[in-house]
Amino acid sequence: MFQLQRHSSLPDLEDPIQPAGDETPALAPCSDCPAAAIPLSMAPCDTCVRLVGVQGGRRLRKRLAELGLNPGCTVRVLQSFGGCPLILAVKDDARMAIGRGMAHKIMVMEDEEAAR
Amino acid sequence: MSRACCDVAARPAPTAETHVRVGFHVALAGNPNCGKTTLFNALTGSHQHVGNWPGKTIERKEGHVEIGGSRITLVDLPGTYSLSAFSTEEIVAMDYLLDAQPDAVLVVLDAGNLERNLYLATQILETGLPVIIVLNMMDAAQARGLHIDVERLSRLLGVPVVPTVARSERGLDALKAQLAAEVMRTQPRRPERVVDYGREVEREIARLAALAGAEPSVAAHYDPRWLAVKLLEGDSAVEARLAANGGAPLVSTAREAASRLENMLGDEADILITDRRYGYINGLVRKVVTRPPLDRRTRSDHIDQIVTHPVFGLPIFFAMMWVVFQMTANVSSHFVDWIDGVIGGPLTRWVVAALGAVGLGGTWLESLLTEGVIAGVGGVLVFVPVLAFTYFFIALLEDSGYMARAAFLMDRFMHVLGLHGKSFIPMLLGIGCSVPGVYATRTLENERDRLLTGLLVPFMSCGARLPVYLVVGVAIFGARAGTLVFALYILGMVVALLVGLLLKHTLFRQREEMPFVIELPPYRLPSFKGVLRHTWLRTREFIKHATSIILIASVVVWLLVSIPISPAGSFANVEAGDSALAALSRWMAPAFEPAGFGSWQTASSLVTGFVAKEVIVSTLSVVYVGEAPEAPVEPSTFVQDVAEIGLSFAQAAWDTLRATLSLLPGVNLMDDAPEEAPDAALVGALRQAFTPLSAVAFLVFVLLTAPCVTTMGALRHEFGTKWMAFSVGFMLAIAWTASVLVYQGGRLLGLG
Repeated sequence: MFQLQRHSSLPDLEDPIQPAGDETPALAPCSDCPAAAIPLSMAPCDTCVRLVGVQGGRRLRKRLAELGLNPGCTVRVLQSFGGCPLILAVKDDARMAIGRGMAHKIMVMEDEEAAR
Repeated sequence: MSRACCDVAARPAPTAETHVRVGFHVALAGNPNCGKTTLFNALTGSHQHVGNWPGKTIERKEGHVEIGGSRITLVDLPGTYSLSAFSTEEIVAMDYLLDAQPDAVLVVLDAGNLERNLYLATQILETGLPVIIVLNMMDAAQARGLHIDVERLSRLLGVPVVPTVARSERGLDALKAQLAAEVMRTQPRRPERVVDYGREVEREIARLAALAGAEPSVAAHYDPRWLAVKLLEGDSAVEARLAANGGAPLVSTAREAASRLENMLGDEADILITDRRYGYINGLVRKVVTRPPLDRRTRSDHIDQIVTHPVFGLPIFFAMMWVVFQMTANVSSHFVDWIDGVIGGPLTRWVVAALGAVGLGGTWLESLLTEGVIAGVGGVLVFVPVLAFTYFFIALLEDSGYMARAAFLMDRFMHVLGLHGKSFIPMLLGIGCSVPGVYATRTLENERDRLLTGLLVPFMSCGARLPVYLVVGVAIFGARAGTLVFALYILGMVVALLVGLLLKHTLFRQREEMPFVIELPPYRLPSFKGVLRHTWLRTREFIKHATSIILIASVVVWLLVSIPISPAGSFANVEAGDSALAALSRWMAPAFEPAGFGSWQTASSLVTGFVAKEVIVSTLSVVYVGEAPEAPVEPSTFVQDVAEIGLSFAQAAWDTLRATLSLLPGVNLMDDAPEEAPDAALVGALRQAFTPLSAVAFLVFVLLTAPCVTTMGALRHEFGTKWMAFSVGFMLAIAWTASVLVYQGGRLLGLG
């Protein structure tokens, strides 16, 4: 099975955005995440990605997992226009629209296996 | 636990001959969009009762079905993605499963979306209740080339699995047979353990389950293993239940166990459990589902490339909304006029004739029946075509899958108000009439969104307020009235926006951020039968609930008009100025002095305006000009009346058809009816009564004041008496403040 990723080093959702000057803001702020992880909101349209973590409180992560966005799952980005919600294919069959703000907190990696 | 708390309908008493179980209860559970309600409707037909869960604005549907001589009660639980304590819907569903202990649970799954749907199914299996899995929408799954090994799924889960297509009622016989077997079963059936959470977690589960099993007060109510899993997940609703049940030590033991797991495995216990559950489901789906070589984009995905496009999607959306709005607000008016005509014409004549025949003609009873009761019933019935059209189109939008796309497109804009994208449709319908607007809030999944939207809908200026604007506006401002009317509509929307922002940051502040997620179900051709059934059931509910409140209001207003306060008049035969209504209005009028319209005449029109906004115009006419002389009624026979009703119905149906076709661009089959010129006497009286400034203040008050009694009935039906009272008080306060601001502000600027 896949390896779980945690974000214990991250501030909680409610915390203000970290001041500028941090080594890599927004993009890959999690020390536990693989360096190649990007926010889902940055994943280009028509790509397959694997969810590696969610930057947020425990309840939020649990809720997203229950909706099908659990760590390790494969997500296909069907539509992603700047400023609009994204449309995702989750667990192959479910189609879900998710707010861009939320997509910014979901960290993903490119998934070569699923893309094939 | 006792079922008495769930207001179950009276069950047939057991008789000596029958040995089948009576009062067999079956709950329907499932994700939103899995066709659960369609299945419920297909099983129960029209034998159903729609209400709300106690203290909640969540719809509770209960129905019954006769299978093999036994009567089975079905309860449709709210659609949920899981059984955790995240939303009111989930708490309602979980409370029902735990407290009512249904005799069986039908877990409805979308066969084309098995992996996500099985999450809830495994949670319900763990409660230990006897489960029957219904694999619904098998046709759509097969059309996409998915093959599901139903027998293997049943073997692996250890429960019966029945494939169905609820929309075309396929597989229902097999499901009924399964239910009949369930009724006859004498041995308790407990599903075996389903998910294996891994060695470490299982060890903690076993330890907690043993503790729970040793506590008789706990073990009597809950499956120990299910309880152990829930406690490790830290489910707040379950913890609260246990704390109230003397299980507090168990809760703290579970918390220790959860933190032990967290230290050992490096992730929170609830995330671990969710993850393992999906791991199990993933394995299960691989075993039972065979997929065709991946066709990545389904037909729905191709349609969505245009329909949900941020630019191209909008014209499609607005065209759809325009049609829905025209159909509900304008096209339905032909049937409204027909009902109005039948009630005001033949029906009233028959009652008058019947009373005359028994020697009561011309008495107060005649007045009560014709002006109070029949007018009240008519007040309910005229809404029926409007609502039927509304429900029809909403069912069409929902069943086709477009509603979710509309919500997706509108979410960008509605988000500013703290509302969900789906709130747009109730607000839009509110411009036609607040009543369908309020009822349309049912399409929203979340209780908070529903309530907030329902409170904002009455601020949209409805069609019944327009005659008031026009009569007063044209009398005072002449040709410039159009601008005023337009400004009033805009003002209503601006006030809704401000109130929305205010409520969002005060009463409806969300404690924590929850993900905004809209599921986009695949597009489907709606079933005509299903849509019509939905329309009929909903309209019937409205008639049942709205009649009492409208009837009462109508009779109260009749009494106010009929009771004389000076010796000049007798009961039911008084001049407007000598009635109790005038007395009440004189008492109220000073409150409107600061807004510039403190006469008793305007106050009395506002009182009667509670019944229906357009009544304001007729009351103004009566109090300023006097009762219009009644046109002599030509005697007609019963046969002539019936013929007239039939003919006018045919005319209304024909007009509706022509008006519908006229919605097509370039087609105009309707001859524009000439505008009725306002009564010259009324115009003169209004010019004397109002200055331009006080007229504007008056119209602002009419726009923002408490909704009409039918809307109040709808608000009470949907949200309960408390929220209805809140809405009325809140709107009255806003209306008064706004009209005083307009009048006093205008005077300061020297406009008065």
